[in-house]
Amino acid sequence: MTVVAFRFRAMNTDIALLSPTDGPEFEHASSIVRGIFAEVECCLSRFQPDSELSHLNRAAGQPFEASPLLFEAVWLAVRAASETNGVFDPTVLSALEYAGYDRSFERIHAPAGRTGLDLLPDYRAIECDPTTRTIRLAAGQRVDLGGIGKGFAVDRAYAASPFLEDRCIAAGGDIVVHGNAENEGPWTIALEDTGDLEPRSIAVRDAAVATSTTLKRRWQRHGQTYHHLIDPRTGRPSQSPLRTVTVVAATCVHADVAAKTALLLGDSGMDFLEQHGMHGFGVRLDGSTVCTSQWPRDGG
Amino acid sequence: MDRTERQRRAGKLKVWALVTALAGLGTFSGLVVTGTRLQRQDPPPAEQISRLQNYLGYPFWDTASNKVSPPQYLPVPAKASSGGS
Repeated sequence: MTVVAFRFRAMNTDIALLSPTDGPEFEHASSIVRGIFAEVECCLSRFQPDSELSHLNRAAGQPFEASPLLFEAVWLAVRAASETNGVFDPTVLSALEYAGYDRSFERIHAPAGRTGLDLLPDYRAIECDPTTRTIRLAAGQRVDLGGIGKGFAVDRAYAASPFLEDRCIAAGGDIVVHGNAENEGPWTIALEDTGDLEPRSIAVRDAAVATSTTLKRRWQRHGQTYHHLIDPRTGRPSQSPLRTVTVVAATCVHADVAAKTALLLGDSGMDFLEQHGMHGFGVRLDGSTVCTSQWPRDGG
Repeated sequence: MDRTERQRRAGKLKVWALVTALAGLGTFSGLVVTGTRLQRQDPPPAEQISRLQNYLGYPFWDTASNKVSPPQYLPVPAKASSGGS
């Protein structure tokens, strides 16, 4: 049986639900997946002035009673920041805008007219109280959940569609797979950047895959090339020797956070993944590649 | 009270009754919507905390729980693509 697909656009990227199982279950799952992406985008977009995230950012310095969805996303982001010692940090928004990424990426034509970055990212200033579901950002602090937003939506869509046994949900580079693809074979995922190696696909079972790269979402400013991956330790676009990292993990948020962290860590990125039981593949700026110990080594 | 005055007062009464009815209906609808939203979206704090501590069944960054099988290279066309964003 061939794989059927339901595709739509949300969160500024192409979303797909794939399954070898057609029929009412697939239709039902399609409806759920679309609804979840719409809900997450409406809540977490920093480009929509009326999103709940925008309201939170405008309320910096004051306690903000959040919806369960926003609270969970911010909590996860803060937790990820804590576990990575701030290498992943959701408070990079001011730095991101200072670098020029101050509007939806398709609309970046000219650099922003900002004169200086007055606040370095620091997730430790965020206060989250789960008993009252209240978030308090430090005065002047703003949060960007773009680092986990799509993975968060993929995970929620996956968790909400258990009745469709065999499925793949993909949002840009964030993918989760469960069960089989066609003819009971594994789900296969193409790696878009393999450096000096031949293009290749990986097969994964019941896992999530995410890729972080500095090759996309790039723009010019004052004759220099900028990209969207801010290093919270400097507040500037990363200068990592790695340009792309792909991670296979248990959930998309884990994979998303780990891929960004490994890329920002550069040469010690694969060690970080090993320590956390994840599998990863990285491409250096010169095209050479690195990987964790259990990543396949053959030519494929 | 002459007939014209009675008609004027009756007209006022009708308008007042209509406004009151519409306001009541609006309030009721608002309560229904709010109630539905609360029922649909808001888990109790304890449940929410449990969800947060145990994201999709995986304690965050728990090395043992995060274990998944490593990928394999396959020389077949891919179903999806992970190129990052």
